[in-house]
Amino acid sequence: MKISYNWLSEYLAKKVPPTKVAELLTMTIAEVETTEDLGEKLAGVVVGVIEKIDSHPNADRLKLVTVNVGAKTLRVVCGGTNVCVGMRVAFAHVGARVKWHGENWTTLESALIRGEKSEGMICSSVELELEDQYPPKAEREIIDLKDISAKTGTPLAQALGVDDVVFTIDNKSLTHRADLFSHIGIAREVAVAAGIAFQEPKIVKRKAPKGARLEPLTLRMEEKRFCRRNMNVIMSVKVGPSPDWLKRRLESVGLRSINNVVDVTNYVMLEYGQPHHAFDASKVADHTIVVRRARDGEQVTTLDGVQRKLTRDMLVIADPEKALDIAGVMGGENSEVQNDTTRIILEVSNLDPLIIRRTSQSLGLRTEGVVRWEKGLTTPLVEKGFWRAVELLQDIADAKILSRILDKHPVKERSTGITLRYDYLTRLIGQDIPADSVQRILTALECVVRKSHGEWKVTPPIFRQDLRSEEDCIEEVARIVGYNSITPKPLLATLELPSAQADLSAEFQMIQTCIELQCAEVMNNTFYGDEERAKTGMNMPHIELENSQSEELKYLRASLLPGLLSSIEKNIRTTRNLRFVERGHIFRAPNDEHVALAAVVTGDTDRVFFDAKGMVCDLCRRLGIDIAFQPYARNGNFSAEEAFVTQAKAVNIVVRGRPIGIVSIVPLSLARSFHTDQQIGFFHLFTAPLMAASSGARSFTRLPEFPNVYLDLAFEVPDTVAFESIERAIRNAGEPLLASYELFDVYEGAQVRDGCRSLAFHLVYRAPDRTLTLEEAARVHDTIIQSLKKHFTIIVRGETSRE
Amino acid sequence: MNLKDQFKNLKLEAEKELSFLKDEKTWERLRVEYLGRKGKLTALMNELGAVAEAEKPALGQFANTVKAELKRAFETARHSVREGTSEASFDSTIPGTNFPLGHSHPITAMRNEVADIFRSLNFTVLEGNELENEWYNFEALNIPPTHPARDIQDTFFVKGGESKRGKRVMRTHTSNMQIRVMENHAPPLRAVVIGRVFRNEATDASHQHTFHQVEGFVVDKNISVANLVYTLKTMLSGIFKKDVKVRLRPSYFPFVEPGFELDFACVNCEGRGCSVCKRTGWVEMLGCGMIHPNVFKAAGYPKGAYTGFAFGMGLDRLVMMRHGIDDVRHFLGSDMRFLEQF
Repeated sequence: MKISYNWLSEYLAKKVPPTKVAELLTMTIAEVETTEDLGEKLAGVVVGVIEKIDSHPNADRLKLVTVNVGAKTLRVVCGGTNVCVGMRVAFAHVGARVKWHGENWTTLESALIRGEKSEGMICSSVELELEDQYPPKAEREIIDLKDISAKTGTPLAQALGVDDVVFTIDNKSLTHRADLFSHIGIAREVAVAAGIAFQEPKIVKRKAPKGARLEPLTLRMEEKRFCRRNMNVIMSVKVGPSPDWLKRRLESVGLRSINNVVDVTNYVMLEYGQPHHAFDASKVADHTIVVRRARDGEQVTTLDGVQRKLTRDMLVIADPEKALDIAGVMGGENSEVQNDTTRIILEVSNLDPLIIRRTSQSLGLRTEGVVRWEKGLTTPLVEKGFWRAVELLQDIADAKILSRILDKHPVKERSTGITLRYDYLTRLIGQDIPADSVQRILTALECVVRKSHGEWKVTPPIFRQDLRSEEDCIEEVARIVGYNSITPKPLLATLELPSAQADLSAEFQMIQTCIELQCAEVMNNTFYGDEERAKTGMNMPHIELENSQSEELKYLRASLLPGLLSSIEKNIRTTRNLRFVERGHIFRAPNDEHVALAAVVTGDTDRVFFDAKGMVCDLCRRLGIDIAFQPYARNGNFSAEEAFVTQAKAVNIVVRGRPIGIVSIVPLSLARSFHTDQQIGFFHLFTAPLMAASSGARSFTRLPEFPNVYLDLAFEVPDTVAFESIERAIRNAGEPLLASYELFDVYEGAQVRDGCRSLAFHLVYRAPDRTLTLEEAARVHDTIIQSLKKHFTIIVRGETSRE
Repeated sequence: MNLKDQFKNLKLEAEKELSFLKDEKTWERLRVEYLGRKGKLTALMNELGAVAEAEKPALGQFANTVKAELKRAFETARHSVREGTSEASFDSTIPGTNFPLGHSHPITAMRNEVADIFRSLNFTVLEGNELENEWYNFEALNIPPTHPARDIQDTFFVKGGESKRGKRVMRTHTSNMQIRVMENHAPPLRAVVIGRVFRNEATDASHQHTFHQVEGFVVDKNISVANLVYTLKTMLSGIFKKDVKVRLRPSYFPFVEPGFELDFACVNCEGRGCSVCKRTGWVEMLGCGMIHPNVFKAAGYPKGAYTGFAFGMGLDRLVMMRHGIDDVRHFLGSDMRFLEQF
């Protein structure tokens, strides 16, 4: 909303500088987003009078002109074709900004022009961007200010009435304050905040001249619930252009002047916040105004020339034959005030905010009127606005009242008293505020305040429907006193440990571990579309948005994997061997929301499976969680991930006997549909069961007292033998002296027989109570070899020659 | 000397030679000498055949160990020869090793930082569900069905998601957790909720339908505006790692009364005015206020027993300010060129 400083100042007993007004507004009422000084570009330009013209000694087309600029006279070089003695001109002092040849704004300096000094400039309209006010008739013609009566030396901005400052106020912080969508409303607040008197214009009620023959006028109010008040009158008018002051007012806040009658209705709306409408009375059948619901399918062509189809849920102002106006939203073309209009019906009503907002929304039509209606205006405003409009129409459109004044007022608001306790006020603010300040501020805001026993009975004015509770009153006091006069105070409370359950830090630690393992953390959209579902073959039901922004964003993600595969797709052309991790919410059913953690790894071999598996082990080890891997089995919990699993290359992650996630490799065909030619390994798990299993503390194993003996072992084994069973055999045979082992190489290919792979281990032997001899270790080592040979067909590498 | 000692000696001898190694040529000569097909180790290995059967396994194993250890020693030695260059040719301006690193998402990093600050102020850190019903997201927060914030264009609704507490919606703010926490816990409460929120808004460089919010609230018997200012000032000073000046301005949010907008003195220009603060010296940071009595009522708290404050802050903007990120869409963009900068 735009507020004109000059306009606002009319209602203030004392002048408050514009910067101060902006500050008061921001700090006590609502944020001023921008302050625009309309006269700024004319700074340094004044009204001057030409006293003398001499010829230029060195140029025929230039003249030496002496200009009276108020306090003194200056001599400038001027090439204006229409320059003459006594002419009133726009004179730019040195330092003013002019648009040089109508192109670039430059700061004027004193200059020598063809050898003659020039201390300023007599301007043409293009040089000051005043073409609209002073259209140039010929080239090299200077502005002739003959229509301006201002004293010589008056700043031009002031003389032209464009010396205004316009504030743009953030509407969002005013949604509860219908009374502030007007200059009067804002002025009232500024006056209170600045501690000066507020001067509201006096409303004068008028009547038709005595003895005049009254024209009939009827008002049929069919929707009393939605139209709480309606005032009507027929007036004769002389339609014509508006006076300059009115045009300027409207233009300063961004409205276009149309004609004096329409301009008055707009002016009063901006002044009081009450929208008005004027109908051409000759177009209103039977001089009867009907307030009713629209009929389904009823059509109205609005003032913007668009034919609108209405529904029963909208309100219209009509005559007995047709709808004239979509109530509260926009007038109709069929009854528009035009240049040949001689009589109008001035109609002012109070409408229900909700019905207007819904009408505006379903028509996609938002007007200045709607902005005000939807905040909830009050009915006393109808009367104020009505009489103000009548007064202005009489003043500038030669209007005469031709009918009775109709005023139907089926619903009246009431103000109920609010009890305001002083101790609650200080408790909520956290600081003492003098009791007389409380009383003074509320009274200045036009509340009726009565004091008794440390509390007040506050009755707000009708226009403050937002003041309903004790807290509302406290806000009024505190913001006028100034929020920034409150001294900050630390919180005082018993220190308590957060509940371990609620603590999310362990979950975020898991992401951190994956990052240490070289993953880049991503955040993908919560939504995806049919394309992802088709590409991945996820055929389980998805939760769908009722009002998605696009087809690509209509489902709630059931798994993190589609997003992670898209992350790969976006980067694989430029980066190979990607690793991404994501933690996020996934949705299986309206009541089935989970937090999942998933990572994807790309690479050229099956190794990516083990990379993903290793990540799971590491992040669980960090958190002290025992996990196991079991053969992959289908499970309703993983219905969304199923599509991403290669059956033969998958395991379940098991915690406390429950499968909580999957490690697998994405089928190549699926990877290809995401334009990826590398293998994609992944894990996807639910975090909640992991967190529940987290012990938090890992127990320490005492460092061994006696040294280790290290022996390596490599052998070929048929690739049908699961590593798990080999591991078991080594462990069993090695007990108790085998302290640990590590598989350090798995090799298939040349030098290894077909259908076999070579496994290489570092084995570590140690005794708890003595230094183990090499011989002892070698004996155990041999037992292991013999056991392996007994269970499996193995060939120990390096032994081949001896067998 | 028995065979075993010969193996031991061979190893010691080779290790000694390797310790004096200067260049790769020598290394190759030594490798042939010790590990080559006609080298010293092979020669000893061949002698194993003559050993008594009973000793064979143990000695064989030992020999294998020595062989493995020697191989390892040669590998290590080779690396050190390769990497060590002469002093004259050493170039310290060659870039440091490019170790592969993971990357923390800047939103998560900021989330963790904010969470730590609040944890240190004795707040519980929560996240809450993203799919919510209208009651917790709106009604309980004093946002009635007729409120403009309920308009369909702002909220994502879910199909077929009717529940006893209204339609299901993607939460539009993390304030949905206020009532959920209050329902289950009696004051004193100090909680902060950090998570994803959703608005059905057109996307551009500064707007995204999905973003992240920090919601905090404190409830006790005598919580005041003065406490609110102190706490938020402390939090912002923690985030910006310097003493931050703040100011309150009046604003309106249905679930607080009075409601404020909190600005902080621009940390970029120290309040003198720059492009970050649009030349005002102040940066609009968060909405806050004293919890509305209707919210306490919805939570089932006795009337007038408690007061509290609440605030909500956008995490994305904070991250953009910190790193100078110009487009909010990067956050959900999964672009390595973005991610690897963090």
